[in-house]
Amino acid sequence: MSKSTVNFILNGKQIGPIAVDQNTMMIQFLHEHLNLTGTKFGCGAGICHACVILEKTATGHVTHRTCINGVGSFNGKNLMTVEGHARIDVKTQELELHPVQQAFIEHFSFQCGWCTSGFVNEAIGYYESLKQNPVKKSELRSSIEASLAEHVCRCTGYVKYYEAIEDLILSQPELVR
Amino acid sequence: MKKLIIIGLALGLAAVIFIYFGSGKLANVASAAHQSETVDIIVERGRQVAIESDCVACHTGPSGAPFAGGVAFDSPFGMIYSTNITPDKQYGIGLYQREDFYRAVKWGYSSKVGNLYPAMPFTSYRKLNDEDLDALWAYFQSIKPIAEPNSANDLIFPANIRFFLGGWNQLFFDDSDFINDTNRSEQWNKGKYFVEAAGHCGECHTPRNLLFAMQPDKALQGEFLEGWQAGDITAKELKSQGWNAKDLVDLLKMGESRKGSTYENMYLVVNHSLSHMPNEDLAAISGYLLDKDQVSIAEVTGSSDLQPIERVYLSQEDKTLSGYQTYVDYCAGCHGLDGLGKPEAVVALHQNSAFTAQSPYNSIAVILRGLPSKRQSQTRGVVSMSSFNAQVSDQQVAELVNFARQVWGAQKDAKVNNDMVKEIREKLDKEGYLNHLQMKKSD
Repeated sequence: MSKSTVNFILNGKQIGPIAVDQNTMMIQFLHEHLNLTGTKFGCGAGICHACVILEKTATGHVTHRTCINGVGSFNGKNLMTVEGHARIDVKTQELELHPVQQAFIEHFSFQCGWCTSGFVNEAIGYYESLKQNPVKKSELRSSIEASLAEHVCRCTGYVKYYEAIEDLILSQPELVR
Repeated sequence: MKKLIIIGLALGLAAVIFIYFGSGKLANVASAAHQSETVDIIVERGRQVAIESDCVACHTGPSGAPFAGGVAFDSPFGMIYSTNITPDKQYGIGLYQREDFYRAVKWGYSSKVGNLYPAMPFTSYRKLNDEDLDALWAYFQSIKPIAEPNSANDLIFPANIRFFLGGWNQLFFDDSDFINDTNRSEQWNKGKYFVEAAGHCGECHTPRNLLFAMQPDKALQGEFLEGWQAGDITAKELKSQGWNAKDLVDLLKMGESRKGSTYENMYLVVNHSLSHMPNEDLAAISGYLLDKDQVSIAEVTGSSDLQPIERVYLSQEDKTLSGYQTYVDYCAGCHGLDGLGKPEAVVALHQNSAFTAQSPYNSIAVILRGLPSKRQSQTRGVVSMSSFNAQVSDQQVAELVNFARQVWGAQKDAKVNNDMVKEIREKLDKEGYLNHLQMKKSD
């Protein structure tokens, strides 16, 4: 089978250039080549958005579905998966979750967890965007719903995800206006 | 000088007279055609004519009240709003007489406001026969009146002067009855009647001139509409693309076929109108479009299901073509590595009319614009397609389309180049189609 070359930054680390089978989808590459299984394969048709990962661009963040995009389409990008958001505190060596991840845990936002990595990436992209463009307080709920509208959850029914993000944003006055 | 003024005035007067006599106000309305049938039968036939004519598409607006108007049309001259055509006496057509209804539908003249803009396809409805029009009139008298006010048009001068439309009619309105071709079969003529009259297919599929009049010598050869190309549906083009009668009936009945699926405006036409029509009528339409005198019902309804997709796999040679890697990276996740699609979710690409068409326009536009999802029934639908405008370069699109036209459209000379893509991208961007139709935030 023909090969294509993979070359991007993932969770702060350079990946490639390495040759992979031409037909490899991104999620397959994450699971089978990098052993990063936090990104979940859901519908496989680009509908449920469980497989979404995050790209940092010069102007902000963009999300991508990994089940329907070939690995070659990610070349040259700076990407984050769910494994890349937490930090280790250098002094205490304790794991420090991203505020969005922490909020999801505190609000019991997820149950089976299959959709969670997609929600985490989308919500982090949204949360980071508010640092540049704070949202009107009166429009916060609809803004959250719009940003996560494409993500499907079959356990907790969205309410706890939305509440977690809402509480997190309201706790940081600079994110609202 | 005096002589010039007199000539000027004479010419002006002649122009006014010319325009005045172009108004449908002066049309000669025939006497009632239905005299021996019961009202119920006539009303039911009128309901069918309303479905065939797709009245609901333009006359049911955001409020959802049937036929109460309010649909906005963003014309190059400003906004035009469809009107309330329920029998409400204040806002609708409750005070219309039969003659008023005839003049509005067939000659584009409203006794309430004057000449109608040709956004109302009276240019096609002119071909409706009196029997159908009387039935339609009976039906519109029978529906529920809805007291919903009409929205005022917002047009620039001189388009806002309805009187001038008489001049447009004089120049472009074909004020002639439907012509039955006695050399062709009854079924072929039935199809022709639908395509030309109620179906008003030419309103979207026939190229228009600079003053937005259909060009009869180019009937059904395709026209640009809201950033898409309403395809060339002449028999020559359809045959060269490999369409058969069953393909066309599948498409008109179910919105999808072995040759691809309908989307945007045509999807709505199928939903509102064509999918409610009997197979006999659809067979007649397909026969006319393919220029066949006889299409049997068995031929188009041999099975109630869609024709199965041909499972044609790409060869190793196909996969070495430039454009294949871009296909794998951006398209194969949904359409499959061999373009077979996914049943009830994603269209197959082999023999898809986007690639078999002479014009590559729609295949380029769809990559840049994406498509909204659609649901044809409880069990059938198609998922949305992302816009790839931000993802792929002009060269990638050109290579991708050439690859697809070659392997799935059987077009050996697929010569889309970077400049063509660039031009279409810029045009779509300028017209605002690359952003507001961007269905997915993520790709």
